[in-house]
Amino acid sequence: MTFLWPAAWFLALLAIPVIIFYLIRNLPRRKPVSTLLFWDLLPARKRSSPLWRKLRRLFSLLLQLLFLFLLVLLLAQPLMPWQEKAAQSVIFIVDTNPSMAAESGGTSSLDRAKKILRTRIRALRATDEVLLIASGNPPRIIQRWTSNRKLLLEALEPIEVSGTAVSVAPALNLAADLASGEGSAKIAILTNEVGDEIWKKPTDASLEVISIPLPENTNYGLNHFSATRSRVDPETVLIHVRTTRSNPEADGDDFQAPRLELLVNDQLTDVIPSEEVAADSFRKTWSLSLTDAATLKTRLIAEVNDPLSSDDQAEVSIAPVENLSVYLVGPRNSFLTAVLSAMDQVTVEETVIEDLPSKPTDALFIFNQIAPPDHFRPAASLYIRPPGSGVWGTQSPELLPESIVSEWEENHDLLRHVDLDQVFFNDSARYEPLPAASIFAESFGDPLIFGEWEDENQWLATSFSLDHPDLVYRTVFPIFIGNLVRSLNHSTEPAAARLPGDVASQLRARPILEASQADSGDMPATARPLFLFSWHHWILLLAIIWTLAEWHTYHRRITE
Amino acid sequence: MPTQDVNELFDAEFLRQLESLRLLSRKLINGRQKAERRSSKKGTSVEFAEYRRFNHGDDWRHIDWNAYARWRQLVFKLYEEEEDLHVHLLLDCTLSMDWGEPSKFDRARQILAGLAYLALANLDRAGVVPLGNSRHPVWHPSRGRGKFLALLRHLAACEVDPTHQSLAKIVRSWTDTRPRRGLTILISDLWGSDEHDAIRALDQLRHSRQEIAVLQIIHPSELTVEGRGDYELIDQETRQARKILLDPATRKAFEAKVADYGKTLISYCRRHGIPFLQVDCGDDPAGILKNILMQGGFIR
Repeated sequence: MTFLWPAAWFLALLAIPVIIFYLIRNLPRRKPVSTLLFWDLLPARKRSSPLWRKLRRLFSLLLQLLFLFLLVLLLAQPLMPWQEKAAQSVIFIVDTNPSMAAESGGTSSLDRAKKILRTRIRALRATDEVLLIASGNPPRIIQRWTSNRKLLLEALEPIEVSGTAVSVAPALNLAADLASGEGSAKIAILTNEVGDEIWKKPTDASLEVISIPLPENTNYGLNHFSATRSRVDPETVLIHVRTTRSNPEADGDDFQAPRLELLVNDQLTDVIPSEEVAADSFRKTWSLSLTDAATLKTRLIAEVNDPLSSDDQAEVSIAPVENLSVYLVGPRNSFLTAVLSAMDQVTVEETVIEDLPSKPTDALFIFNQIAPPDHFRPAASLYIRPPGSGVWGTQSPELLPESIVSEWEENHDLLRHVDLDQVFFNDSARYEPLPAASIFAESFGDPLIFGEWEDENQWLATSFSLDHPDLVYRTVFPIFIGNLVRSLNHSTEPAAARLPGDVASQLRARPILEASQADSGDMPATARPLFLFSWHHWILLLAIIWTLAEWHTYHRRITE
Repeated sequence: MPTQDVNELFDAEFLRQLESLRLLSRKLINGRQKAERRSSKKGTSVEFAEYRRFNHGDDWRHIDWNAYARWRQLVFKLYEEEEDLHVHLLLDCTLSMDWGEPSKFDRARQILAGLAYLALANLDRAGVVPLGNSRHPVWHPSRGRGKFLALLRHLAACEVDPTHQSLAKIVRSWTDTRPRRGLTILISDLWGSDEHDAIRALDQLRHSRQEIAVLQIIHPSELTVEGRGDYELIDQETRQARKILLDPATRKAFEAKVADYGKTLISYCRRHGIPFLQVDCGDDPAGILKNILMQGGFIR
């Protein structure tokens, strides 16, 4: 018979204190009395402890030792001879979360895991089968069921840590599915237990957790680095960086923080000294003026290397500011042309209906008091007082002789900084927009600016023309057009660097829970050792009840 | 541990209570005069006792001339002699009395002091005999309340004797001194060396023609035993040990034995007309003395 955890037999040493305790307990307690007269009068059989009572005490001791033996046997996880001879199927899961790259003594956690796995693979018998899974999103089967040790060892080598945070849950679920198809397959996971989730043990398969210890050194790393062009001013690039630190309590005030550097196209642009970075969590935002494409790098420079190097630097690329083509269709309006021509990154082209491109591009089409051709659906379009019916709805024949803006969506991106208060239009038309259209500005129920600017095909319509605008309107209109153009500039999409993540950088270990514990949300301080079988709980419960009952009946058994 | 501080043992409150007990005792004995007790001695009182033949040397003034005229023989008249009562207070000083809180020995000395006070107040002679403590002198019967404070100091200085002795033997050692006949009050727990030891001691007193009263003083913890399991019982007096397995059956048997022993003592005392009172050493000494007075037989 072999045991999966033979070290449990050391717990058998607990028999020594149990025996000592019983010996001490069986020593008679001294009790002074004023006279022994009446005790001497008692029959001898009542005074002394007969043999059968002594045997009962011995029986009590044997019960305790038997309980201890069974408990140790349970923990040692014996394998019966027929179980030893049977072929075993094991699924090994290698956790590839970024913190597995953390080094301790020059060896990373992943290398340690591989070393353990190599030992396990070499110890396989000819009939045993192994399947290797690397965790990830999605998890990868890096070697199918095989007994070939060489294949397994070769498949092990290319495993690398993931660049971003990954969960082991999909790998566990996959392993559980595969194990259920293999009969009595076991699952073993090699992990440092760093993760941002509570693990759930597969219910139908036995799980062995091979724990890789975390390095004791403090890790200081980047957990966020991103760059984005300002939506207001695309030439301005906003760079955000955030750092974090593992076990800050361990180092106290002696911790020497690294300095933080920012490089633009490999040119050192800014340095944050270590005194400012020396915090459990540090945040910084840079604002740079960049029109062309650029490579932005940040790195933490420390005097002593920390365990995890993958979070010490990050890199993002920022796209150049895009040129937006604007087609003006319809009667020429010099004011509109002048407003658009004054904008940077905008190319204005005046055209006629007949010359419109057959396939609308990403350009902005502005139709001034003219309806577009049927089936012409550009990605973005602005209709200035369009006639007849169309995507904007229907124009009524009656005019709004005098209309003043009563309400407008001043918080909408299109109307940001556009003050339409008391703006007066003297030649607005009345429209009945389609129900899907949003009203951005209105005059007592009549739409002035309306459209759909959230969907794929963005369009806006104005019920007024630009022929007789008043002075205030002339002031705010360029801002409105500017917002319109900037909202179409896709170079404002943020670019974020791939980093291990906050949990990995903090090397924060999470306890591994049974499925039932994970469901209930309990978080015990330690969940080890994992019990392999559900009947363990019942036996343990039975043993505890047995012990309590034994203690309770001890006196009664030896005295009655 | 019994105290030897006279102020602690006999505090002012206790002495005040003694005075009220004295008044109670006066009521109970209902105005008897001093020395109003008949003695078996023939003496010179006015109470005629018997005749005897006149011998040479007898006082001729006590010749009954009327009888001579009738019988023509000289007969001599004997009279009952009246004398004061001797109260012998026997205090058990064996080590078993050093038990409980308050100690049985302390309580016994307080009760003894109360009885002595009542005796002295009745113009009797009160003496104290420390049974089992040969190093402590006997307080010979003496009369007068003026000696009470000296008696208290004498009692306070009395200690339990660490040597183990049979109750009958130490009583015998006193009766061998041929004490004057009187009232003998034995204050003891009556835990003898065997179950008949106390009876033998009382027999000794009876045979020495003493009037006897017995006050058994016990502690509640002696009537039962707590705990369960194996115990090694150590005798306070003999230092002997007994291993015992204490269980409910043993406890019940023990309590039955203690009760039987008490019944045996009561039965013996009733059979021989000996006043017997069992007191709890946890009770107030003044209350115990009051019970003694109400019981009768302890005070004449």
